[in-house]
Amino acid sequence: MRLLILEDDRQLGEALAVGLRQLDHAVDWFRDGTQADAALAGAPYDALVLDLGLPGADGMAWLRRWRQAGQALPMLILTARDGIEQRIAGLDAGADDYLIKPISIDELAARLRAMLRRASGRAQAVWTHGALRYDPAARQVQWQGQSVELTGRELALLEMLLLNPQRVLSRTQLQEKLYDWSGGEPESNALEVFVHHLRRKIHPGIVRTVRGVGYALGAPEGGS
Amino acid sequence: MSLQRRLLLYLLICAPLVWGVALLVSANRARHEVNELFDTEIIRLARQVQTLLTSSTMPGQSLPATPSGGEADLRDLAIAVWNAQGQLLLVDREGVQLPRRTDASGFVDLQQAGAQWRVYYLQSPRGEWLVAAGQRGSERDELVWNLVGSQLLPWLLVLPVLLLAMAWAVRRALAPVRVLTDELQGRSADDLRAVPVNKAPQELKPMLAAMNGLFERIESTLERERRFTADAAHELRTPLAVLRAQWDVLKRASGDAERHHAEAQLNAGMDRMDRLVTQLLALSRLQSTERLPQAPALQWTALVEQAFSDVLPLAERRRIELDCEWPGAGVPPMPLQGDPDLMTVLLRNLLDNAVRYAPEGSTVRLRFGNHWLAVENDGAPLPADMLAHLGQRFRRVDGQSESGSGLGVSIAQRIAELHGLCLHHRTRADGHGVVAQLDRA
Repeated sequence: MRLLILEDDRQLGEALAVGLRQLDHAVDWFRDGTQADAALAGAPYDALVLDLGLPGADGMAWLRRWRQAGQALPMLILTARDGIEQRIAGLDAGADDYLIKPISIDELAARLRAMLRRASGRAQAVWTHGALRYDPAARQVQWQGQSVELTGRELALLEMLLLNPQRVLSRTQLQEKLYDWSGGEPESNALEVFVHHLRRKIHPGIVRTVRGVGYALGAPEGGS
Repeated sequence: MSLQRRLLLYLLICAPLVWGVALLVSANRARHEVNELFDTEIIRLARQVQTLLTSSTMPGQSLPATPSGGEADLRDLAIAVWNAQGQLLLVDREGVQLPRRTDASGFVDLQQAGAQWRVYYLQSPRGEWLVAAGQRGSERDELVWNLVGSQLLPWLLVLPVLLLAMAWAVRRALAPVRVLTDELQGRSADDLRAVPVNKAPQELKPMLAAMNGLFERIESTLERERRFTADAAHELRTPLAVLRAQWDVLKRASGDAERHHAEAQLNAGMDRMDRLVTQLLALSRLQSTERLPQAPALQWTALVEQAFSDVLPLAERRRIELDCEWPGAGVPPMPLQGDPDLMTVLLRNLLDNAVRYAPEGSTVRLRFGNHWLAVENDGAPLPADMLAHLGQRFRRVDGQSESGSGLGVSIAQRIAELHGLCLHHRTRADGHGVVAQLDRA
């Protein structure tokens, strides 16, 4: 998934961005709210990690502003402020989760997954689609009970399709979800390569091509 | 010993002593009065006898025996009359025989028949008779003791009542102290509310006021400690979060380049934690320091050398020139007595801040005057609200790429305070840069 991190501490921000990228998320990290605000408008993020102690306007101020502007993105507060009142204020201002530093990147990723699961209306920890089973926490895929080895980007693509089972996703949408702004422009046919790999490793019908628009989740036969 | 016991003891010792003295004085007075009374009586008796004597009085007469004398003891009195020839003319029957003393006139104390007698000798004007009238001394003592005794008895009877009354009075008088003790005893250890002074007795007021002052100081110390601990715990969270995240990154790193980068990052994270903890400890030690343990005259050259060496690595990394300007020839640089180690820490903190927040490639200057020293850099001038909050613990300059502990200025301020100096930050006269200046407070 594509994540936005707003954290002014240079060392922490960098470690979080690198750590979440290691888990195959696309991560953009900003050190002040104005930049993050601009980025929010420019890319389809799945979740936002927000520090409260920021230079200039406080993280809470940004949270309120975004929620008032109708921004429905799942947002998670990651802060050193551990007072109960502060936690309540953070959640009431529109945060979906409130984490207190320090926290392991694994837990942060798990919280983000849980937030996303709730946002997409799925309650189960393991997602199923026909004979396909996907465990986002373990990042394991099974097809008809057999394990399937997928790379990080392939997994991310599959996850995105599973998250939007009834929708056709445009190439741009998918690309923006798969790549953050840290790695430069992705190769133009990269998306096709990943789609090809998914079809080869799982089932040719798992991804449906909608000509002129993009891709959608397919309904492969073979045990449902 | 308790105040109450001490008071009671003094009262119990003093009351009988004073009473004893009063008794002696009153016995003396009584003796004087009795003497006066009886002496007058004897003189009068002698004179009466003399007036009764006529030339017809023959020697060898005795006064007739008195019939019943009531409670009188006539043996205590004696009268004798002699004529010029020494013949005893008159003698009373019951009394002792008084000696004839032709040389005596007036009162004479003498020993007669195994008892003390006081005798009055009266010579007739022409010397034909000598009259002696005497009284046994014990008679007078008896009277004096009877008089004093009759005073003593009621007093002795009342004495226990008096002592009880004193004990009660002492207890009553000390009741406010007991109330105060109970109040303080009943308090929990962290209850540092002021003790009400208004209702307390006058004598306790200064003590209570001093105690309340102490409570206040303890309270503010505790509050400072509490806030410091809370702040410190809060401030440790972010560097800890950094370490944790960097460690997670390192665990997942694949490939040498990624691993090396992650290791370097983790190392930097630990350096930061190290610096923060060191500064925290330094500040907590400084806060509990009230006075400097030793204060020799400071040798600035050595201190500057040390402080410059300490910030040199950071300055090199940021390509910053370090420069020290001494005052003109003949002017000593700010003479000051103080702790050289602490002063080095102060200089290092000021220089570290100046270097940390200076633009790369610029110069940081340490300048000495005869009564001040200043550290200047070419950094962006600090906004007014930031200047006002500098020195608040954990307050960092916004939007900097270098992350400090947020404690450097607090530490420098505390050290300056201990040296009777004051530290303030301002913008340089030309409107650029930041100056941290130390002046005598």
